[in-house]
Amino acid sequence: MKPLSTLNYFKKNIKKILILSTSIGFAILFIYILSVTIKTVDLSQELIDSNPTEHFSIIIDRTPEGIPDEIIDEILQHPSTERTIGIRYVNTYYTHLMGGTMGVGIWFLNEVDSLYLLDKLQLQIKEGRLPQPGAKELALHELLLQNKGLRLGDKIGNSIISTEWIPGSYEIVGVLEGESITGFGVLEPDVDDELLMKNMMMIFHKDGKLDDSNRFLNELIPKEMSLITNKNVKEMMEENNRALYSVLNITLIVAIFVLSVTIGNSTYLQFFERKKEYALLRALGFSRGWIFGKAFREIAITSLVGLLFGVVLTGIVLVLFIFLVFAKTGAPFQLFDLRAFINSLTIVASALIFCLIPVWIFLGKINVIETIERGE
Amino acid sequence: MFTCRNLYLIYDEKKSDPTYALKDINLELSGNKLIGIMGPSGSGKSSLLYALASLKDITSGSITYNGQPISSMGAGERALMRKEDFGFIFQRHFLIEYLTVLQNVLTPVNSVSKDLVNRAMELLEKLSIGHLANKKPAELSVGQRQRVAIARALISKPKVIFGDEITASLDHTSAKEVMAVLNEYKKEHLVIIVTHDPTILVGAEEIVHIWDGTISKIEKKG
Repeated sequence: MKPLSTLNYFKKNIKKILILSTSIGFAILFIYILSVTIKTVDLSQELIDSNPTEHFSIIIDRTPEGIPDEIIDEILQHPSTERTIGIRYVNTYYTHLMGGTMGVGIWFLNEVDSLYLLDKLQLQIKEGRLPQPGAKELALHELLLQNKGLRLGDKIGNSIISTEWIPGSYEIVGVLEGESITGFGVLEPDVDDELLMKNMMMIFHKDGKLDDSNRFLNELIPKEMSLITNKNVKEMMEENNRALYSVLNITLIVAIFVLSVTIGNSTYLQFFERKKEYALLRALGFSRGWIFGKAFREIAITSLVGLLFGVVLTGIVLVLFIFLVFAKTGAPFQLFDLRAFINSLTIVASALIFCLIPVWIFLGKINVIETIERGE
Repeated sequence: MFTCRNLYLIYDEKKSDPTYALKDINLELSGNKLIGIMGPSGSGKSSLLYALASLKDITSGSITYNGQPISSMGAGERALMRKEDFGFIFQRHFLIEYLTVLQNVLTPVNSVSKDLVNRAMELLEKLSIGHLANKKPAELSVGQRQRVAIARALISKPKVIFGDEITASLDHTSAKEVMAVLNEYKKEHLVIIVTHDPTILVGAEEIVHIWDGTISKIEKKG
């Protein structure tokens, strides 16, 4: 093995390399978990608000007159409309990982329409059964139940826990699984769907007609009525979350910057300790470029070892996180998130930059004789 | 080999009280011989050595090596010249702590070819430290470390050896042993040694005396 080879350096300095690689590994872990946690809040919102409205829009008019017939007719006749359903709804809350709450719509509709809704939202009954018509029963999404610490057979409502938003008391008879966090109950068989529709209607659009439907409804529905479309929901989400995400993203950027500078400086300090070695190599005739190349290889491989360690460590911690945090709080999770991975790579890249730039400058400024002869 | 013309080396040139490390040096150093540069501390002898070795930039005048002015060479060219033609023995004989004695000797060539390893071992044997080849510098005495530095300087068979107070950390017997190695080396190469100890220059063909940055005398023997 050549005396100045990278491999020889690693072999002889394994302890130093491991300390540095471990720091890089832990920084990667921290940034990945922070990024995934932020992503989880985002994902929760998507599953609660955005995903359901990709399949339907809702119009609410609580006045005694209700939604005018001509508006209902126009909606029914519009080419983007597939089906309309009269509904009632209540809200419950979902607590996300950052501690804030989000409203989740629980829909009450007739038995046939409830099957149609399940089909459109691609939800399945994972456990239990569909609620009985007119019974005080609900089927709720599994993540919502986990989030609330409830199980099949439990009761939910403000008569049970005063802080609950659902009025009265309902038995949970079904657990839903699928891409939308929601829940539903079935109305009495004799409820008049047309009357129901006067106050609250769900409009399902035809496949590929989401934008058309959203545009049409936004133009048609007067401001006095409430209109919930996918477009409105996304705009609202963006507006409501702007402050939260700004804070989270700034936290993330600051964390990446601080960790990069810290790791970069620690790496640089290890090189600074080898000042005499570099001065000697310069004196012996090794060029600045050659020494920089050697430093680059050493730093790059140390970072790579750190990255691999970080990936393995993050994998283990994420699995623990899934069981100990995500599963218990009903938070949707994603093991691999590209943005989180890129954020983690930023640590490695920044650490390289924050170390290599000072090393290059240092190699240019080094006074060979002063360093070797006077140890300065 | 080396020609110095009107050589000046001035520290703090822009200040009101500049220091003249070397003043109007005119000198020719060539041939296969041992040349000593002598003088008291601060006389400028080390400055002259390092200027010749291209490790210190001169203020004015010129130094040519084999006819080529050193000041006209770029940093890369100078580095290549040092790597291919020069060997160094520094006063503080710095060794790389994480490498073994043998690896330290092989550092200038950065190779572990059989020939070079054999040559390194021969040099270590000649310097009576062959048995320490696999030790780390921290396990050696100051004198042993200096011998390793000497072996390191000789490994690439350089055309010129520059030595700065190389026996300062050695006892008299060790100093004689080291000088015997260099006296043998001078038969085929140029060895330039800076010292204030005249006893180690017994085998020197030339001794350049420096006083206050100028050459006070050049002694030529035989």
